[in-house]
Amino acid sequence: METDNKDLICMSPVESYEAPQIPTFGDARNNPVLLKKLPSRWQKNAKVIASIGLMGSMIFSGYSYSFAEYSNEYNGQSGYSRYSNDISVILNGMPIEFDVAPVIINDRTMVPFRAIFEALGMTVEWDEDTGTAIGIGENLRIALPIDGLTAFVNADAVELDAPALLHNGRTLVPIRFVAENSGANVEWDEATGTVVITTDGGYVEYPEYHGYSDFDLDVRLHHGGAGSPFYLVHLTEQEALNIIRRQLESAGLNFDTTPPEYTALNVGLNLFDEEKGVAIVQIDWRAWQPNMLMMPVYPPEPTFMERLTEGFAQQTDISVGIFRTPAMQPAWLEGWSALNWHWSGHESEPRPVATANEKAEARAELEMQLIAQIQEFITYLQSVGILQ
Amino acid sequence: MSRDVAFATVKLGMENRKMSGLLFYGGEPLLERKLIYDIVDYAKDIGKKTGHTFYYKMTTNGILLDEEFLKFSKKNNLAIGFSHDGCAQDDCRVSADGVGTFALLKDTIPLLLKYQPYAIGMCVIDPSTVHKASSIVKFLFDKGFRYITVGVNYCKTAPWTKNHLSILEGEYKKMAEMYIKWTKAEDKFYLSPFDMKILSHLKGDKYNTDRSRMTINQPSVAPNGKIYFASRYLDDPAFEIGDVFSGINVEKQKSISQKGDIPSEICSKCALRLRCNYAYGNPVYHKSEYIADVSPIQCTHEQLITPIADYVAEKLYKEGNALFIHKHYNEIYSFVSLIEDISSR
Repeated sequence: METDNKDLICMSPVESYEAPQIPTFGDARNNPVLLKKLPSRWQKNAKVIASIGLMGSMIFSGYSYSFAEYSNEYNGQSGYSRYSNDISVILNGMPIEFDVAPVIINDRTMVPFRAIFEALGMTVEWDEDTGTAIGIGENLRIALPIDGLTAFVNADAVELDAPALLHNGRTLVPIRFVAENSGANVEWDEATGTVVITTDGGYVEYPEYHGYSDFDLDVRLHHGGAGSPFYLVHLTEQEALNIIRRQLESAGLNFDTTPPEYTALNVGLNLFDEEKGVAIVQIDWRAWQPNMLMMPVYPPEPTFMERLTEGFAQQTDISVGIFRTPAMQPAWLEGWSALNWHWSGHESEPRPVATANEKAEARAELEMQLIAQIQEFITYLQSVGILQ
Repeated sequence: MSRDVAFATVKLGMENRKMSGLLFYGGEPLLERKLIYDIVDYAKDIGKKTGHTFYYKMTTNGILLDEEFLKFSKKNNLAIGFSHDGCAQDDCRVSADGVGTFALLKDTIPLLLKYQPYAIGMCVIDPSTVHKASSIVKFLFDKGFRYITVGVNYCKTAPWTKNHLSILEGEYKKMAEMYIKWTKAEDKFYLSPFDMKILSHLKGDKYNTDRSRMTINQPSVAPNGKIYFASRYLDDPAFEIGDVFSGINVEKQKSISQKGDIPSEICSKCALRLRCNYAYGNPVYHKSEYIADVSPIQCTHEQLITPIADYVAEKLYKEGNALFIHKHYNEIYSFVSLIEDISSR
């Protein structure tokens, strides 16, 4: 340690420092509304200044990041999203797609009003005279005037801290306000940038069961797998289970029965049709893989299969469909991805950023692949006479 | 500096580029006023013949600044950096007989700003004036300077103590409130070190890369024609990289620059190194051995100002202050601002 001025001032490094919560130039380029508001002094010279100022914002927001280049160059694959700062919205376990990406303004997530109202089961109207976006549900009417700080829920006036606004040809509304006033529960997952909305009766909460059986079929979920370091788009356990349940119940199964207990392998039996003898098992990788670095790359290695077979073989003759989901917490997955970005030698470069649309497309593909596998399982169940 | 050395400098500055800056500093450049006139005329003449563009800057203490020179500066777009310590002017900036220069420059400031509205007000904070730091900045702002830089006396003989730094921290916090207040009032201004520190966050990893690139592009020419890596290494043989008649030793220049890009062992452990003005690009030779050297006062100052500047940025950004956001994120802010100024005259 060097000293100066007779040890009165010492030089010592700062161990840690929290960066200010404002975007860098790179981050800001993903925010197309950042420059929308002009200083009032420019508005005094509206004709000249505002047009140039807007030109600046258009130039600024026109910057685009070529995800395809990184995808092809670094991984040879496409169709899966990479680490993204974009915002996702999940309603009852299913993602909502927006034609204009959600943005955060004044700490409020804003989304296109038509998409969110319709996703919540409401019909939409637009009052041209007053510039008001309206959503109508059962005994419910929510009205948000553009740039207005007062909204109306039925006849009640409600103050807003983030008014509805026009952006890229769409009317954006504050999602929390709309969802909560329609009776939904809204949570914000900081780690993944996800707004999670659940409505009564729409979200299936599965208690943790311990069940067992011989397994008959391994139905695999192709998502890139736990060993793929760069993929932060995946279906959560809950989302995957919702899709599985809906598909299988449509095919004639009934999962309202309480499943039996089973303690070996810490396997959770999530869905169980006792009458038809069909169970859906959710494997918690943490239970059978103590060290995440030793985790086998997807698809599962034979060892896992053998262990599962042995465990189930001890018990009854229930047919078990195993859907291997990426059972990782988002924060862990991000850490894993960061680690692998470093290991793969790219640490000096910025990690690729995917757009909201690319992320939505990747999720849609995951769902399609899962549904395809469920169909295979249904075909199997039909072939053995369990389903007609 | 002789005319031969000066003209050779101009010609050397044209090599391999289409635009060059000529910065006059000293001592006091206006002691060689006639030479400055000759250099600018020479550069204009060469520029007309070759299409090369020159821009000019000068730092001055203002004692010899008069209307004749200001008219010349306006005509030739010669930007002026004006060294003035505001209300503390008489504490450190005194004439040879010890008399303060505040009164002498009283009428110079409005005259300067009349011809050079974008002149930079440059103050230097010394331990003896640290308690007036925010007042100095306020003085310069109230006088009409809209580009203000606050420097710190980093000389090894400057008697900085922890107590002085504690006072400086308080003064920076006052400046922070001034920054916020002026921004909310939509006054357009640039205040270093705040804007510089904010930029260090916005640019991320590129901040120090850009600074390093800037340093290598600003070699300094001594009166005898020798060229040095940068102005602070003037007359240090270890940093001599050529002369105006035979040219620059590019390899040596690059070598010094690359060494400056390696932080010292202490700096390499610091969480602020990428935002520090001194961790990179600050090469020093100690005796015959190269070391990267940051003085304790420089280090402590960086640690002191960074969170204060970040507080300002975070506050204004989160409040959605449009002027702040456009100033820092709109790539054509300067252009729009200039148009606004022109249209309002």
